[in-house]
Amino acid sequence: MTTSFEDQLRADLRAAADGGATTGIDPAAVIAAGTRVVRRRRLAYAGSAAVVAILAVVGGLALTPGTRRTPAPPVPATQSATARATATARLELTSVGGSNGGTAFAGGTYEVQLDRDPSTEADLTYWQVESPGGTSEKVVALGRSATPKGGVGVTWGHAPGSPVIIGVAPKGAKLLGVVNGFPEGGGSTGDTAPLAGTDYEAFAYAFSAAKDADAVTAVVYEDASGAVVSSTGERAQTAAFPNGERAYVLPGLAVWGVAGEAMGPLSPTPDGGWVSSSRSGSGTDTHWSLVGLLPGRAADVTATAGAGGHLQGAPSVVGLGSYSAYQLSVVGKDPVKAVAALTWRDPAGASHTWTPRAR
Amino acid sequence: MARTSKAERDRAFTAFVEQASPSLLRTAWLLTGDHDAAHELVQGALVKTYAAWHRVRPEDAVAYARRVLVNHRTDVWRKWGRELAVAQAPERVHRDGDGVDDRDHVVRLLTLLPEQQRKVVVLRYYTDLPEQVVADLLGISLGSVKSAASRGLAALRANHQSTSSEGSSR
Repeated sequence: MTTSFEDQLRADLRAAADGGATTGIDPAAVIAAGTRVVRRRRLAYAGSAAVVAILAVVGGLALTPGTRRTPAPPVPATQSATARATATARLELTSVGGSNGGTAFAGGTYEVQLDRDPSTEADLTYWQVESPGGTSEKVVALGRSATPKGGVGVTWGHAPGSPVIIGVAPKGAKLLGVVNGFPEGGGSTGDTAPLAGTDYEAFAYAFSAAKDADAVTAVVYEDASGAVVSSTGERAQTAAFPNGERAYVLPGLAVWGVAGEAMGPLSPTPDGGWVSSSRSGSGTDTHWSLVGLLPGRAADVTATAGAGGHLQGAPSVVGLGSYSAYQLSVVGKDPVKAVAALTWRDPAGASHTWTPRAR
Repeated sequence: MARTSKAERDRAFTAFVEQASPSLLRTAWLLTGDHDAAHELVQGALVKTYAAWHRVRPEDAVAYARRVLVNHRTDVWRKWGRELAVAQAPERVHRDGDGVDDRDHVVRLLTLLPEQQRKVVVLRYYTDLPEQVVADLLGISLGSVKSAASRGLAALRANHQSTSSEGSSR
């Protein structure tokens, strides 16, 4: 029974894959782009050595001006620091669009170096080894902070005027998002890479504006055990939907989101709105999975289709802390137009209706 | 070890791209469900592979590129209800009589899965990699692979049955 489904899935995936590869890759274009990366990297390493030397002379744990140093959360008893001299991770950030439709952040390569001395507090150095857009080979030291002695926490650095935060989280962490006051526009992009031989995972997160990076107050991630936790040490309450998606809520940070998606969205709690946890297809045949949060224990949750699409089944509803979370599958070009209204009944029996807002 | 010239390295890399890119594109298409995104993902993975070419053994090159591809994570900031700031996907290419809708159906179901489940399902059931290799590739535990595969299959089966019953009731 299971085997036949798996066999059918294999056949379907092969058929789908064969129909999907419609455009080729130009090796010359890849080599040209790769050559530029290698060239900038060589120049950057020369500059990096100079940065390290300067930092060594300066010594101590003083932060570069503008760099944020964040207290680490309580250290799990099962985690311990691993003695190692140096570990380095390279992070590649792609471009980020701005709210005006243009490119706000051009992308670049960043490096995180962890210098560990088991007898002292570990030092963490962040620097950018390739400037955004490749317009300059100048090495920019983003800052320096300290990791907690004998433990594993979350810390990050941010240079004045830079739209990028760079830092470390416990090994195996899967970043879900950052808390920064939820700016109105623009995008973000992130990358993670393990710091080999240590208990840390390096991460970088770029925004469309420096003020968005400066406003980051917490990082939310899924740890190696699958628990959703924040850099403040708060452990999220989670609930799973039948389709496997997990919603979580962090009351202490007044945020919630959908786990399972890397760098998933965080949103304020709760006004009945949704976040798009996944989508596929295009045009009027776009399939959306929408996850939202309702106050209290909601009953009789129903959705009404709008003129711009149709619903795929009724909402799935699960309890999530003191809230109710729903998951709704819709088809349409714009989910706001595919759903006319969402209604539910609160524990007192009162009926409520929420209407999706237009863009 | 004898050093190779850039021209020799580029020739070897060109041969590698021509040999490996169709497979990588197919994997990327299953992971993204979007032709343009798949192309960009593979292009980016190959650029990183080129930058590391001097330390990649020929027999490991495909595995290296695949590792870069599946671990490249980027996301756009998706807004709360009022705005979904995701990139506009290109219109799907329809070709009459070749069953493209059937093929796209499984891709649509796949992209409804959370990212890790989607990656595990593609690596396990399309590329047929052993569970431990998938775990190493994604940097997660063997148990996480088993769990993601189980949940992913269950969700695919449920969604498949749901859409099948919808189709038959029309």
